[in-house]
Amino acid sequence: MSTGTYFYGQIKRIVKLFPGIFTLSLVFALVIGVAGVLNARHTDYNKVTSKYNVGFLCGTDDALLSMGLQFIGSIDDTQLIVNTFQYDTEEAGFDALHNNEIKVLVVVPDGFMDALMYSDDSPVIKLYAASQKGITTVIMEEVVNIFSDDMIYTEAGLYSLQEDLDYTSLSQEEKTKLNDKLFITYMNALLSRGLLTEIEHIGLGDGMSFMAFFFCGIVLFYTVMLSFCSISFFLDSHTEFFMIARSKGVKPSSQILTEYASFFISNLICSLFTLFCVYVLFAAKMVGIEEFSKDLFPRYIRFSGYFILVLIELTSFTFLLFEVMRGIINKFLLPFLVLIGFSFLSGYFYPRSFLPDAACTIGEYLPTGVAYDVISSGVTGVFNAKSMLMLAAYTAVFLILVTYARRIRIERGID
Amino acid sequence: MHISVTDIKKRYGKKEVLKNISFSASGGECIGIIGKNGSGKSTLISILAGIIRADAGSFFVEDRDALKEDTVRHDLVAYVPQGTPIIEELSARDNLRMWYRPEDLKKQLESGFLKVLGIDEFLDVTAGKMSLGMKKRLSIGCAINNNPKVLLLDEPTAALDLVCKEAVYAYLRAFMESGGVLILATHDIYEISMCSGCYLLKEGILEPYSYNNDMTDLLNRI
Repeated sequence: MSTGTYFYGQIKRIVKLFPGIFTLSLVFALVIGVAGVLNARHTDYNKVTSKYNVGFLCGTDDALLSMGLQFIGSIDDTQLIVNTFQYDTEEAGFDALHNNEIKVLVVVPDGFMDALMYSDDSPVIKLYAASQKGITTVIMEEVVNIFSDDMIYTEAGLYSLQEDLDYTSLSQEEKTKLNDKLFITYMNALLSRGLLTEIEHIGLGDGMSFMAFFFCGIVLFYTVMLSFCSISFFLDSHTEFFMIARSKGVKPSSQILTEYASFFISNLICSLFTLFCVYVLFAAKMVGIEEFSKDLFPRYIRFSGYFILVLIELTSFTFLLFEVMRGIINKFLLPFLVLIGFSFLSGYFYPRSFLPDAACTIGEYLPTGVAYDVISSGVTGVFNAKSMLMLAAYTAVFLILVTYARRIRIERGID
Repeated sequence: MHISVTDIKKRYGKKEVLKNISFSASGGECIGIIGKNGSGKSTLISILAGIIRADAGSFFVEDRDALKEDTVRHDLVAYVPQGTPIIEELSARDNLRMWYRPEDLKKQLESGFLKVLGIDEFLDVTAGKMSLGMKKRLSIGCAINNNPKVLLLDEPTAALDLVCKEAVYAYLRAFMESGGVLILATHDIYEISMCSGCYLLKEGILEPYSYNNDMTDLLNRI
């Protein structure tokens, strides 16, 4: 037996299994594609309708405070992300929070406006969040920023100017006129700023348009899960076959390379067929992303090239997982859980930058995260040398590890 | 044709599985390695087959060390593990094609050992649909693709019915008659009685054992 005949055997195997693998991959691509497109087209984020509902518990009799809250929900920085609600009583505010009508309740204590005027920081604004982790934390930070940057500083400045007026020798009537003028100037400035700013919602994820982000996420999730369509290639125990092949001179490294090549070819054929179908949809303008709106063919070819590189890496990753897991349940369940977790951290379902810092960093350096960066390069056309190198390194490491695992498996006769 | 195994040692962590294992045999002989489960029989066979590295020792086939020269082992030694090392998705023919050159395969199926094993009767049956006996015969058929002079078998007829056992024994007898050396790790009394020399492997030490149809004695010593 030679490496060549061993490869022949593996190719024969994959050919025998291929009808099932191909059918499963098509069904999977269809399901994930339809789900992804429907989600992307109808998601609230795309329509810019999913705003964060923020409740404010403060007295409605303070006109300036009420005006400030109204501006929070209308100025340029915030109009896309928050809806504001004002409550008079603590009961009404917390009821709204508990009924999920609002995500955060901002409690503005009595005397807050006076404290602004006299630079006294004893009354502290408190925020109550419906949940504490993930996206809520991000939005909470946004709300705090809005409060501190837009409302408190601006209105504190307004109060200071009002206070300065008191020390002038002007009559009360003149002071009132100037006060009104100051207030109107402030409002006009805010309104002008809001009107002059044209906001274009270019997307959620890492320099890509909204649909491109979804496209990358869907393609990567499909790629990660594609290997499960070929799981029959790994299910039977072949340890004794590997042992006898080893005794005939086919080393573990040669075994792994030929098996990996067969596995990869199967995945490649399935995914290229799927990519071709997607291309047809793009060309027919049934779906589309901004980045491919011009020069579709060359850009799609470039994307496909990057995709193949990603497929090489992710296939080696799943190959390693399938090789080291023993038992049918473990072989399916544990890699599935690992890949779902990695996919989440790597931003396949939600932009990675929306995750907490630590999770974001981890996600960036995971093999799935590196794959995301490479494939997004394929969409944007911006070459990312670091990600490419990491992709190559990960592939090499996975293949070395799986070779080592195979050697151990052969030597110890692990079924 | 002569083989000699000398001072083979193997240790797993602190456990010394094989301690200075030595024996020799000539063409036409069958060596039986007896011992209870976990005694190290499979480890010894795996070392001789080149699957596991020995910590020390040699395995000379004629005057060349098969543990150091891979080509000697590939050309002269064949190994059949305990199970059925075949690919379930493929037919017997496709399995054999992985191991044989087309012209050799044709020749073996017409008048060689593959004919003796009866593999020509189920060439186009998918391995997954074969009986255990067919799989075992096919496994041996795949293993002997190099026309070996030394055949290493790990419990070759375990779980086979009498008819299949007889097909395998017919081949083993033919192999020995052709001047090959057979090394068997076995629990089977009939296989033990086939052997020209038996060794008992216990606590890592290999001792000569002469089986005289006394099962009680064998059980006491094992």
